[in-house]
Amino acid sequence: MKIAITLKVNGKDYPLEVKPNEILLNVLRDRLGLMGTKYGCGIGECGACTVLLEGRAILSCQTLAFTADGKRITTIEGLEKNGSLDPLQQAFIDEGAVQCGYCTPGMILSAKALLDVKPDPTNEEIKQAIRGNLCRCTGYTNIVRAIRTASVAIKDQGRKTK
Amino acid sequence: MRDQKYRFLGKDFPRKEGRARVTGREIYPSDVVLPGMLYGKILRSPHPHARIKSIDFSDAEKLGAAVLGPDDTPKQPFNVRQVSVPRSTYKDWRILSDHVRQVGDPFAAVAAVTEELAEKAAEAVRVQWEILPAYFGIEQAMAAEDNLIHDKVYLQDREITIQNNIACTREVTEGDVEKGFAEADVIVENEFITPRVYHCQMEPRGCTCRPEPDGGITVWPSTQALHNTRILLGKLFDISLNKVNVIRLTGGGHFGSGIHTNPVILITVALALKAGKPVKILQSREEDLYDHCRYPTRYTLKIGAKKDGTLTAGEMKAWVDIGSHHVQALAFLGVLAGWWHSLYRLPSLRYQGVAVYTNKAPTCAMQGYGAPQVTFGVETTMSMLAERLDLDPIELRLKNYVGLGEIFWGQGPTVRSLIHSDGVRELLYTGAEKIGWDHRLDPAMREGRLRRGIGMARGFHTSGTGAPVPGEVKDFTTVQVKVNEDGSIDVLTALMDHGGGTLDAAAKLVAEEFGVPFDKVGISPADTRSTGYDVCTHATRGVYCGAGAVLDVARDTKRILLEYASRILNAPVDSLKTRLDETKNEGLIYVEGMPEKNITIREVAETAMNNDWGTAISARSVRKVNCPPAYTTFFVEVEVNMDTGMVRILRVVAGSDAGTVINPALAKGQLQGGFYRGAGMALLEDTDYDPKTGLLTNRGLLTDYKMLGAVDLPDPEAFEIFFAHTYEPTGPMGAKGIGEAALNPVPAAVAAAIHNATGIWFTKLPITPEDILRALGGRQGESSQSEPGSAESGEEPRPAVTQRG
Amino acid sequence: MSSTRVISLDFECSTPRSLDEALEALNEEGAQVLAGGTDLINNIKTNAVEPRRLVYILGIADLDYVTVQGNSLSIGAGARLGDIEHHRQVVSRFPALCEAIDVIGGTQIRNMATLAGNICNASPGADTPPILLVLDAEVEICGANDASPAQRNRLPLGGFFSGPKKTVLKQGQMVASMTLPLPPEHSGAAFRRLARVSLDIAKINCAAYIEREGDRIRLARIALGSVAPTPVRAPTIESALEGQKCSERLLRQASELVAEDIAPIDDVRSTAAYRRQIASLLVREALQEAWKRSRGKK
Repeated sequence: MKIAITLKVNGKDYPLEVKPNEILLNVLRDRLGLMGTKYGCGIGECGACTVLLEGRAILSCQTLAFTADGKRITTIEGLEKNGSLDPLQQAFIDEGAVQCGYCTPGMILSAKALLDVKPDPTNEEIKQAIRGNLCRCTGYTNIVRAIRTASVAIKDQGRKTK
Repeated sequence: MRDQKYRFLGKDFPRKEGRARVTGREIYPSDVVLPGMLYGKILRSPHPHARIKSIDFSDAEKLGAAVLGPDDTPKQPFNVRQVSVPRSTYKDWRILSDHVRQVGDPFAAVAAVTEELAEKAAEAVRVQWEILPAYFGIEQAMAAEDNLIHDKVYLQDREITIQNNIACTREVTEGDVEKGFAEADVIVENEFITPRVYHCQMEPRGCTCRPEPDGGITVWPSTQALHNTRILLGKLFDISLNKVNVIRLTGGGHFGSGIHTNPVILITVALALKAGKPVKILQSREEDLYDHCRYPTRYTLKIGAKKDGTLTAGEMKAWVDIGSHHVQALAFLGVLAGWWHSLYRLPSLRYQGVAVYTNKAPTCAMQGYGAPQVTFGVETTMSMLAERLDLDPIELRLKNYVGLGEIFWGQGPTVRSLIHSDGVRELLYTGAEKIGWDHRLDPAMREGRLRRGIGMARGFHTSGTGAPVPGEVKDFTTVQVKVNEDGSIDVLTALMDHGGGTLDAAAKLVAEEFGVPFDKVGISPADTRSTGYDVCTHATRGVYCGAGAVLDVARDTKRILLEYASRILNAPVDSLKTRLDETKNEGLIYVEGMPEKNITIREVAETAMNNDWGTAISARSVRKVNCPPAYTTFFVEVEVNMDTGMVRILRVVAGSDAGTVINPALAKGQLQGGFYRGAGMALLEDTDYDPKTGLLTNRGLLTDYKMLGAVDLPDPEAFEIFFAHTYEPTGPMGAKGIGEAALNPVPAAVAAAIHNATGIWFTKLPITPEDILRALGGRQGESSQSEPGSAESGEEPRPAVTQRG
Repeated sequence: MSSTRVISLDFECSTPRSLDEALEALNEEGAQVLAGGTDLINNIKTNAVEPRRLVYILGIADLDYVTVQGNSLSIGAGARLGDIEHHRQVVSRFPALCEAIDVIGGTQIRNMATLAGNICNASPGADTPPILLVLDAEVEICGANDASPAQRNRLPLGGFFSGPKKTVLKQGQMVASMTLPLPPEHSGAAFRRLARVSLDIAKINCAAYIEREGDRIRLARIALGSVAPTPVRAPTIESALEGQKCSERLLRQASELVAEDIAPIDDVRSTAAYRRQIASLLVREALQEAWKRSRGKK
């Protein structure tokens, strides 16, 4: 059985035929060539496969592709706009929050989902927002710092454009 | 840090790989895609110990899959790890074997056009098994007379008959131990147990291989060891090395699990050669959990000391459960002795180590490589001694530690060198002050259901494995540095960066040396055909040995460049210096004392090209003859809930003696990460096997391999880091290592903090809430040892999982 | 056999737009409901279940609701945990339910998973059943009734679980919604759990609900998870508390009776001994908190 769906990824439409058992993570990576989203555990425990679905952080390894039909998906590749990094991406570099980098795409998207609804989070709120994202390298310290730095940068940006 | 005005060292620059990694454009081994590529799937034993009677591939082949069985692979035995010299290398591996030795042991593989089809093809393979008795504990394994896990193995090329599943043993004796204990006023003896931690690098291991028209192979593996992988592949598949190209990729974390050439790499190559097409195999997390883990240890440690705190003698007997194969058991037994010997001065010591096979995942190096295990016992013992002798625990350590001017064993008895820099006093005193060490209460004074405790531990790691004479472990790096025609610089080396910034450090050293902008020093893509041998990035050798080699070769290249410049400036080479011209943002060569006589590096390079003088380029191998200790101290404050046994980490003060700190933010990142992994080892990480089935009790899923998360760790403000003001004269611009030192003392520090809160010394890791409550229940308010490990294997017997919680 | 990387099991799928369509699709042998997928996908990946058809219900707008109707809270089968725990009415009237939901997974899981799905997965250690049980939740089951498949039959949650990972649902049936009566004034509920780390399945969890009359406990309900094949109530404790004047000593003594009502085992997460020891502590804490809340204290 195959189903015709359209995946809307990073503002672009991808019409596809998928089998019911195809996992969204694998479709993004192997069929759309968007390799930024990662496989870390396949069982919903590590967050490396995090993407935004209608702006909300979800796990693409726990999602069958056909259920994402017609919904707006953002992967890490969709954050950079016209060569400009999102403040989160810049902050991760600046605060030493990137070591091997494998968890980074998922981590940044979870942080983005947080800052989009809570622009001024406390340390605890940041840590709770990334509870579902594992990092084996950094010990999380610089990641929390980077998310805070980004929130300040976004606030400053907002102030400047007012 | 010597008083130098460094332009790049000690300052944070955006790391070169940063942009690629935050935009999802970094290519990891998982991300390699080749035209015509097949997806492979490894078939793995469902039994802990068995022989294959027959394999029927026909249904898999009907699905169109390429198939690979034991008979399709080279038969010669080998060791997956090529770091030790041949005479110290035990060979008990085959690429695929019909004698499987653990659940998850590879015995066949298939490949198909999609991963789903490969999965289906794997399911269609029919196997008949002869089940053999399986062994899950040291005593149980050693009691076996037949049906051994291995019968005959090879040490170099000599056949060895295995008895009682004993993989190897090692003994080291120095001085007169009996006399030393006789001289002691106090003797402390305990049994220590450390867990079978899983690396859990975020990217499970995998590989892609393309067979080439000339009979060669190109390989994109997840590995820390490019050249060792190449050499092993060439040997096993009988391909001349000039046709074996192993490509360097960023890995999604290693922590030691990629020092050896993982089986998935060998199987991928075998399958690609058989299929005649590119093949990619990526392990699932379940497979990865059965693929490798840290060495667990069980050891008795006996230390004697005089009243004044001077240590007189020590005795250690260690049993190591190494799982289904040797990765580096002999070397590991050696480093246990080495770390022990080099933590505190022991006039006499006796060490015996035994490595035993069991039907579990093979153990391999993991950050620290025996040092966290040993430091746990040694630091706990030192603190116990301080208690018994009523001496200050910090002063006792200062009195006995192996430091400046002394010879230390580095990584075991064959790697010895002299210590030239030592920040231990600063680390201990500064750390003590920052945590409030002198204000900590005695455990007996603590009350209430939430009790705080402060603990400390000191550790170190060697910066690499260099030594004046070659030892058991190879250690050198080959580098090429060249100046491009626009004055930018290319650095070519097979050195790997695990994410800690090793290659950025190398680039900074070159930038510093030449006086060019950091941005103008490029780390070239590397593979084994274009680079000379580098042993691999392990043993905390990345900066000291690896980047150190880069600096040495950069200086060779600089000499050639200066020679060209001297022709132009008409000044002797020895009078020429370099500096960064901030206004031009370019490297400048000038005559010392006559700064107006100068020329940009770019102009020199252009001139050299246009006049056919040549490229300023040089390449050579560099071996370091030292492995200076990178010391660290951790002071930790915890809060123990006396009703639930749960431990909360409140504050950490980490001190590091890394000599010149090249990348401060990344160096801090090493300490933060090392603490998190060490605390995980202390509090909860372990892998257990169900003796009835041979399956992991966590079923290979992260659902039940638990690690501390962001919520479980303190806020950034509660994690303080400082660096000692030292300068390592043998190191590149004064630098030493940090990597493994950032973890080594952490489990001991956390255990010490728990002791300060509860009054209980735990000698078995991990210290779970269940352990704490059990200990509190039996000995409310007392200060004593916890229960010794069980007689079986040192592991708590746990019944099979009968239901998911 | 699938793996966590790829599903090799072939199955069909349906994307109904109404409950009727969904029920029709569910009548086929081997058809299962797919909601958030965070349990079902893993069960497929680990070869614990082998459905022939997945009926995806999150496209049914009518099932995605959280409303207060009359004197009960009604939660549709399509309502995500993340939406439920932030719903204004749930936050103000059922804070303990929010607390229970909040410990589940990370943000991503709660954005995907449904409450109905959580209880249908029927894990003995699930975090929502204890609080739902003490709040007297009911499930509304529909389907497998030829006459009127969409007719909803109410069942108290206590009768819904039949064993570890087993419910009373038959082929063709699904949970359409859950209802909770609005708690009366002078009542309070609380939830407690312990796990190894913050992102974890519970070692043990429990919930308590108290209705207060003056300084007496008019009635108490206690439920625990991870201590029996299904989430269980603690009738021994409940009897000991009913009608009694509340005091620290009463709560302590009553919670120590928990051993009568539980049968914990050793497993990968914890030991029977630890669970037994902790159970009374958690029950006591939950009762203390519920009592405080019944007095209007936060």
